[in-house]
Amino acid sequence: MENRLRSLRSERGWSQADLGAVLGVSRQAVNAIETGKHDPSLFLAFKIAAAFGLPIEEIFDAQIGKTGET
Amino acid sequence: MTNGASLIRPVLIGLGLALLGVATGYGTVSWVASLDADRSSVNFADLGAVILAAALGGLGVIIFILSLFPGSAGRRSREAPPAAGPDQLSFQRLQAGALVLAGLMLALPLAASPGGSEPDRVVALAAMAGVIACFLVQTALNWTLWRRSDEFLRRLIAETGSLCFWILQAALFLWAAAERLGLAPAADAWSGVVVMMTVYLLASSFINVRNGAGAAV
Repeated sequence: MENRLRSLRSERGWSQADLGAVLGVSRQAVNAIETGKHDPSLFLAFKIAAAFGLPIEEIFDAQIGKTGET
Repeated sequence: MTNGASLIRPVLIGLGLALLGVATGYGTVSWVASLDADRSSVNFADLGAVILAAALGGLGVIIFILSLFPGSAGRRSREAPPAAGPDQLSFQRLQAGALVLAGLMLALPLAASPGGSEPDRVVALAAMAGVIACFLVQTALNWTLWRRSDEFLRRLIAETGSLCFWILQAALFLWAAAERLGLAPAADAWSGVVVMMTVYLLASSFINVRNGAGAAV
């Protein structure tokens, strides 16, 4: 699942550790989400959306319909 | 230009690796020195246990040393996050404690029966009591680590467990079949534990590196 987490975080001048502290997860978890190595749970995705004040679909792109995956 | 602060981490890592080397070397030499003169009692499970115990203990010491320097402990990627918070530091110290105890648990039976000799009953009971004490404390630390882990670290722990189970059950089945057919010698529990711990360490390292999690054990 692709996401815009890194660019959104950079726009706000936050480090991975800063965002991790806001979300209550480790810096490694933030890094893994940004690099596409970890898809966050629904609960964490909502927390990320709330942290940036954006709808989930503006941060994450599940590419449904683009690759044939459902 | 490299400043003094940026040198702290590589120096600490070098120091930790040196400590690990010293511990491994000392443990191996002590163990070899305890063998019979004709070296007929060389046991590869014991040699593996010595190396594993030194590796686990040394890794724990490295993580603990790094946790003493918050400015360097949080720097694990090309990003430059600020110093690790107190939660992360205490988490790292818990990890260090669990690793050191795992090393101690492996080292105690070896220390109580050098060269594979039959230990005195009192020594054996004292060593077993020590193993059980380490096991109980380590179990509590592992439980605390699990509870304090976020969803990403829990996923890595679960994946490591799954990978280990898949590898070890396959190996155990194949060995048992070969043993049943008289094609392999009977396996003992100590050798099994050494193989299991080795596989766990390798699987954990592989999964953590693959997911960019650094030292998340």
